[in-house]
Amino acid sequence: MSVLMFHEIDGTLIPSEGGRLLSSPSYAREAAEWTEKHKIAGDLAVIVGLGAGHHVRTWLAAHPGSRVIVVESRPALVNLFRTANTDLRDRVELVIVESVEGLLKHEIMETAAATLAPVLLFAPCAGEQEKLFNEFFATLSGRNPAGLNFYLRSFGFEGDAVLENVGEGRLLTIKDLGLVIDTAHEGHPQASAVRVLRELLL
Amino acid sequence: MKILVISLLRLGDFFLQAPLMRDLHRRYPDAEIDVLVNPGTLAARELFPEISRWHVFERDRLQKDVGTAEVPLFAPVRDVAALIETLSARRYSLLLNFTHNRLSAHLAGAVTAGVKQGLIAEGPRFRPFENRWLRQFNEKFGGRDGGLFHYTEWLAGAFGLEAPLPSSSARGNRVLIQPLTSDAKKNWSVENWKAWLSEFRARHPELRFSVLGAPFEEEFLRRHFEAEDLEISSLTKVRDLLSESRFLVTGDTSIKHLAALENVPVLEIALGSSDPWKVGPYQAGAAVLSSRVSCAPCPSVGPCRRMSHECGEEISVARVLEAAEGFMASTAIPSGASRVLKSRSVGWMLRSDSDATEFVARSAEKLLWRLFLEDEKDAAPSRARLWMDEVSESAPDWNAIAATMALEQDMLERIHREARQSLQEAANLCLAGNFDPQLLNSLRRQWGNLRASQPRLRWQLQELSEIANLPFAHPLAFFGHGRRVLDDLATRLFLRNRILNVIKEHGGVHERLSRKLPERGPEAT
Repeated sequence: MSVLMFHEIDGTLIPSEGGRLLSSPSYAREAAEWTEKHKIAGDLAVIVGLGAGHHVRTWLAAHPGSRVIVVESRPALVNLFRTANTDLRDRVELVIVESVEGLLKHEIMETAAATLAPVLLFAPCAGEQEKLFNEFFATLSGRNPAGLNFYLRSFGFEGDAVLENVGEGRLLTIKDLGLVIDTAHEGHPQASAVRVLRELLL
Repeated sequence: MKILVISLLRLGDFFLQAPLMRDLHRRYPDAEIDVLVNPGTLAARELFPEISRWHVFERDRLQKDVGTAEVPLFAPVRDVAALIETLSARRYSLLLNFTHNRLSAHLAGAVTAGVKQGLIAEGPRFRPFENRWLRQFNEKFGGRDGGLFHYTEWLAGAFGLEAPLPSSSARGNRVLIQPLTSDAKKNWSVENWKAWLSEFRARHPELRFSVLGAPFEEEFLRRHFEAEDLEISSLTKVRDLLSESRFLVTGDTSIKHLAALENVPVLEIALGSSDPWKVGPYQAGAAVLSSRVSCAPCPSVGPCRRMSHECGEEISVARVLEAAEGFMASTAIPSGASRVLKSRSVGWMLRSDSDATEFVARSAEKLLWRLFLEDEKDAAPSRARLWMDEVSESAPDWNAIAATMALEQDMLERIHREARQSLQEAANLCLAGNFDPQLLNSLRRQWGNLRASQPRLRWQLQELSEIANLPFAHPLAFFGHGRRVLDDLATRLFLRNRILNVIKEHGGVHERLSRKLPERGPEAT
């Protein structure tokens, strides 16, 4: 585990990890731009990456009435956010997991599968956790083999999907899901829905 | 009883399907008829109060969700599954998939319903086509040679419904024009439209003119037309305007099809990928101005690929003015245009003012296919006589037609005989365990070239040419498919022969009669 350091910039603490700041010094603009790109229609989102938390606060301000679940691997950042943002206590759920295995065992996965809430990645705060955060993002959205299998089980598909030639970091698409359906779950009630959606990509 | 119609194309296609909806209502007056449509078709909701429920397939949103990494992979799956569940809960007795694409087939396959018609998926595969109409629609409509039947006719045949061709009549003194279509390559230039409007208005001060457009076209139209001429309206308002209109001049638009439905005369300027033989106005008496450039109609996907918009440039303002004058004067076929005719023997027909021979040849082909698709061997002679009566006003040279048909018949019979023999030999070798891939490849090459080498017989040879290029899991599957195609060709050869015999028997009579008639008609004799 690498060491986190904190820097005071314009009266605000910005953490860094391995020499990389976890927020831009222009954190307000960064948070606003990120929020603008990640507007959603529903009332719940899962955000991967907490960092200094400016993006969470900005996002919530732009989505009144919405809640977020934030997934983070570094407890120190979570503690700092809790202390500094007590007013958001009812709107933010903070989840600390340190590995994909831990994530798969955490109840957040059940919540993600039940709500199918959008999963938003705040990449600037990843620091040295970039690979892990990308895996969190793919797992939570069902777009890597581990996440896909979790969702398949949640939706009543029996058995694990065997996906070949899934390169590291490649996000699975509806085409991959279609392949899984055609090879192993042909008769499942939701198989037709997958086939319908696959046609939208062709 | 509840009926679901799946109509997941565009608004214009929905209007083209409307005659079939009307027939459904006629056949099942007490049934609740629901439709499943794309959001864009909801604009027509007020025009069809007879439809019980409008279910919406949120195509654009789903497409966006499917392509957005932040949306969990299963979120759109849940949404489509919920739609399927909602539809299944309606317990439809009858489901008709008018859309005929893979997406709609999967939806149709998933919804629980008593009887399903059209293209239907069963798991990852598709149910065999239930009739010849549907199979031929599938094979012919998408290709460049598909213009044998109008889209509405194909659907009517495939679903066993009636789609009477609406007639047309002027309703008032307003002339509507719609300059913009959904596709730039189908647009006649706005300068042409302005020039046409200015000249036609000057010639006909008694008429009122309205330029139609959608809200998103308003800014553009305002730059080119007088504000008082513009009608940026809902479909309901457009229908009201149509009800007081003399005629509509338009490109290939949904309003064209709405006007046809509302019996308002349509003059279409068919450009770009617009193929009037497939989706021209479904209205007896409508007129179509088509370009004669070699690239027309072009593929529907993508922009115009020529150095300039040749098809649009070829249709001059003067030509549209002349056609509109002829249209106003109820000339049989306005100069430079084609007229939609209602034929009792062959249905929807387009007849140009310049080529009677092509009209007779095309209608003969259509007669043959209609008899084949309807499996009407016994009715062939009487239908052929009816057809001859209908086209006789074009004064065709029946002897020449019979001679050409006889030559073509000989050629088709030879092709059929040789193809069947080669197929049988290859199949026998395969069954004896001596399969020769070279032989099969040679067969494929031969058949693959047939359609291009015999353009006048393209409709007859299309399937044979196409299976030559299809992948088959096993040679025996190719042989089986080939046999079916050759059986169909044999049936059409039989029907063709019957038509030819009728022409030979009665052509002379027609000609003798027409020679006997004095100029002023039979009553003068």
